Amino acid sequence: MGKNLKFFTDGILKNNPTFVLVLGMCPTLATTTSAFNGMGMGVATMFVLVMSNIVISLLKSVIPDKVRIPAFIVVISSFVTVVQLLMQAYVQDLYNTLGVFIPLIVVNCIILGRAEAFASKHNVWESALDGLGIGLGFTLALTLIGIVREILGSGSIFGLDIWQGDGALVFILSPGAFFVLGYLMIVFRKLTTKKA
Amino acid sequence: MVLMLFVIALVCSGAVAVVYSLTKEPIALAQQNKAVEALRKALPEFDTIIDTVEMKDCVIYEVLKGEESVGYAVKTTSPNGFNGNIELMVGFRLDGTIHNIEVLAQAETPGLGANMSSADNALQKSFVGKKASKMDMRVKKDGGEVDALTAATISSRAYSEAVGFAYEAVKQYESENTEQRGFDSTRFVEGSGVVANDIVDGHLVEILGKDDVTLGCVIYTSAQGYSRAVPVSLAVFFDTKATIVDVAVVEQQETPSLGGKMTEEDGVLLQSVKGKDASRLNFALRNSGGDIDAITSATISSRAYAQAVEKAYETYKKVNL
Repeated sequence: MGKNLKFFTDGILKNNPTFVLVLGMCPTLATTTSAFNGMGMGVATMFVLVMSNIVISLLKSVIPDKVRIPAFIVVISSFVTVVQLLMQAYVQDLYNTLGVFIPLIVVNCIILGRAEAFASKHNVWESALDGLGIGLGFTLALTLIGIVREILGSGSIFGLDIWQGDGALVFILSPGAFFVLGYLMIVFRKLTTKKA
Repeated sequence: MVLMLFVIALVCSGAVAVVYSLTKEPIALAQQNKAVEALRKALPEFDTIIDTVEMKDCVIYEVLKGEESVGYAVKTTSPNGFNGNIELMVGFRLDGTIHNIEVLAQAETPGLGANMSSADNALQKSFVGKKASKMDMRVKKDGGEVDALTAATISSRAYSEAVGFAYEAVKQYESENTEQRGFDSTRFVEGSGVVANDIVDGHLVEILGKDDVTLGCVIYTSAQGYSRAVPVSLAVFFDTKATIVDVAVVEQQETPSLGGKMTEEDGVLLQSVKGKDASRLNFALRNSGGDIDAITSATISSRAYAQAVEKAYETYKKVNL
């Protein structure tokens, strides 16, 4: 159990996809204009990651080595389509905001990366935990960036006003995404290396 | 190897197909709810949507409250946003006043162009309550009367463009569905052409011209006659000095041998208005002290005819020739 727990926590801390592995930067920078958007993107990715990790780990012995990448992509894109349809049906506003970044989860390197590096070598239980850990790490990171950008940029948090009036617009625009990501990365490194 | 990949692809597409069929209805429902919600915001209170028509790349919704038409809402799109399409729902009251505008979709810059979605923004305020026909739908920078959003001229232009498209679509819809019914107003004067058209107070107005000279305008109006189903619809041709040059009956379903006589070329109704100065005409029937000779035994039909001509004159007064 200790080993399994490590698979889970590694994804959040030691192997955090955003702050440590620095993977999947495109959706990270583009969708974190508010805390809710960041979290929505994170949860959608987490779902795809967990499901594809489970399925790929189940299929690892039957998928021939030479066609494993196309096979992984087929599995991943199916789950992305499922997420897309579900979001369209039940959370349409979020779906409209995230727009093209939902279908683009297919090419998010975190997912293919975990499929290739982890799920194809570990059993189902471990792969699921890894997917959950990495997915949670990604979600937390995106939510955190979203919170900071939303507070500084629009003076609210999860849509609730903290103060009246406008914030610093730059944090909502793309440069703000880089600033916030950079500084959060510094803070994250500082905290995690101290522990080690 | 290939077989395995094929099997995986097959199973996956099967799974996606199942999810698709399960979510198809909720998705359609969610989209419909969204459209209805936007309609409620764009228009005055209504209870039924009676018509949905596609016109000039727009979708027009006509709505009723009880049995009265409330107005039109138009779903319109401009492709020229700063970041892709801008989709709006524009509500028009019957007199052509813009009731409200609701943004359905946009991907403009947050904090700048995206403010078009926020409540009471300058852009929306420049349209709401204005008569579309009397408004220059360009941003102030381009010489129009629309207040652009700060530092978002491109977004504002696209927004205004979309509202313009909506108005064009309504004009076309009205001209196809109001009293006109395919009537060709150029038959009044041989060799003339329609140089402009507009909706004034809910009536279609066509300006007639020939050889660069404005001859006058044709105004389509209608009034409830003896037939409950089909109102008496007229096309009234005024010259530039408010003289009624001619009147044509576009549609009617009055009693054939009585009210139906209004279509006759030498009918008493036509003769009592043709060539008269509308500003000096009393549109009441002769037996009520007015100037209009009624068709014998067809007072209701005659009154409807007179009312329709009077309405046309009321509209004429608001047309700038």
